[in-house]
Amino acid sequence: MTQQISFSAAEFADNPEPRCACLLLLDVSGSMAGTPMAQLNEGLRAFRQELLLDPLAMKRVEVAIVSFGPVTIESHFTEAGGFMPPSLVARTDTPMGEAITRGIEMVRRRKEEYRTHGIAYYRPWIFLITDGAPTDAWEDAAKAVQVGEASRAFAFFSVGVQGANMDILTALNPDRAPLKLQGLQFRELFTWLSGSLKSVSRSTPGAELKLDSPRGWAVL
Amino acid sequence: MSWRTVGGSVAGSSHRASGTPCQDAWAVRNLGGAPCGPVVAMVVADGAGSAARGGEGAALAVRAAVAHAEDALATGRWHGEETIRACFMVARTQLMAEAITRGCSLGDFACTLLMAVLGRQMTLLAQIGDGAMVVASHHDETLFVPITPMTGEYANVTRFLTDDDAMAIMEVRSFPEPALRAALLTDGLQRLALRWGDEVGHAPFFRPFFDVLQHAGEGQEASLGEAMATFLESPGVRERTDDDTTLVCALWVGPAPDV
Repeated sequence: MTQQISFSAAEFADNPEPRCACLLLLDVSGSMAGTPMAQLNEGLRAFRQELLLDPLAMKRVEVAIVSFGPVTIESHFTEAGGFMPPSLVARTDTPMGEAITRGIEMVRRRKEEYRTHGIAYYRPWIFLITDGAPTDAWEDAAKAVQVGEASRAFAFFSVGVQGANMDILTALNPDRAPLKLQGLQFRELFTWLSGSLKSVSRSTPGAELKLDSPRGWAVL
Repeated sequence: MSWRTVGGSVAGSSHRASGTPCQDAWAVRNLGGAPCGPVVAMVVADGAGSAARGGEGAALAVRAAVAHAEDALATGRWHGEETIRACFMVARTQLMAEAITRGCSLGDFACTLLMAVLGRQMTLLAQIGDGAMVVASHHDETLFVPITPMTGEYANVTRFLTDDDAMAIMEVRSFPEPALRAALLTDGLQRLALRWGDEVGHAPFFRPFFDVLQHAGEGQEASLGEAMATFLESPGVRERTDDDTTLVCALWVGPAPDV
């Protein structure tokens, strides 16, 4: 007679999921008015949809949004499951320097909160999208970006929409070249971004991240 | 009087989706003939996802470490901490030899390595990388995690046996009191099996394994192994991790120590 052996009674520790913070810095200057803004908002909605399709990303990815022109925190870090994309409206100028400085501070604080609560986390992403050039001093922000990249405090990506000053975007983070958006392919951009965050959120120790090519939305 | 053991390893869903085989490896060996009573050696390793041959590295390292422990004990050359360090050194050397033979780099075999050698007069643990070992030397349920899993600031960063400074940063712990229960696991199970912040094992996670081992009879090794695989494949585990998972448990069945 054989006795059925089973370990099914094991109960699991209820530890928090490791988090992957993603901060979007979005240009809402006057020049974004009309179709570009509509496409950007549409892209944000697609971003949410894509993240919701992935159970692990939904629990692990946290999204925050800062718009600039003027600098406004549209959404603090929220789990992808509860993230509601705002409806952005084009407004005035392009205080990119201030937006970056504020954004880096938000990321720093979020990491501190993770540590305080014993939550493991991945390297945060800061993702800047702009169609212009900064109307404020951006040199200090650039230094902060470079220090952050060098110390691996976060990864900073920038995307230039038609009309963006690509030279300044390059100067912000010479280690990671800016990408130029093809037309108004915001939807494709955000689909790529959600895919990349899904990869981050399921990466295992030591795994070097292989991001998909941005073909389909970036001018390569 | 003996050690009863069970172990298993399964590929995670993310590895399956990409067609990658399980990159974890494990071994457990009863070294019954030791002069001072039965000794058990347990080893687990997690091959780095980023390395070309992480899974092979894990398998080679596990085999080499266990073989060295067995040999040292059988020939009466067991010198505690020094010997468990030597097990890691031998495993690392094995990977270097393999890299030279195959014309690739040592880093291609990157893997973590965790080893426990438990006897009546020693409890020895050594670790490099993440994953965890829990041990109990009393009959209460507290399972200690003597070595904190090595993770960097970020959840997806750890240290490997193939790192240049591996022998310097590996952690070794030695206790005079004999262990009654112990388990080793790779990082895929870490969030399910440990209580973070408290540095202890989550007792309800381990309870069924030790309970079943307590009542297991002779000749049930095969069904124990099957039950372990079934557990690691179960939806409860699957929903909580998509990584490879490995768990090895050992229970001492015999008179309790006088403590």
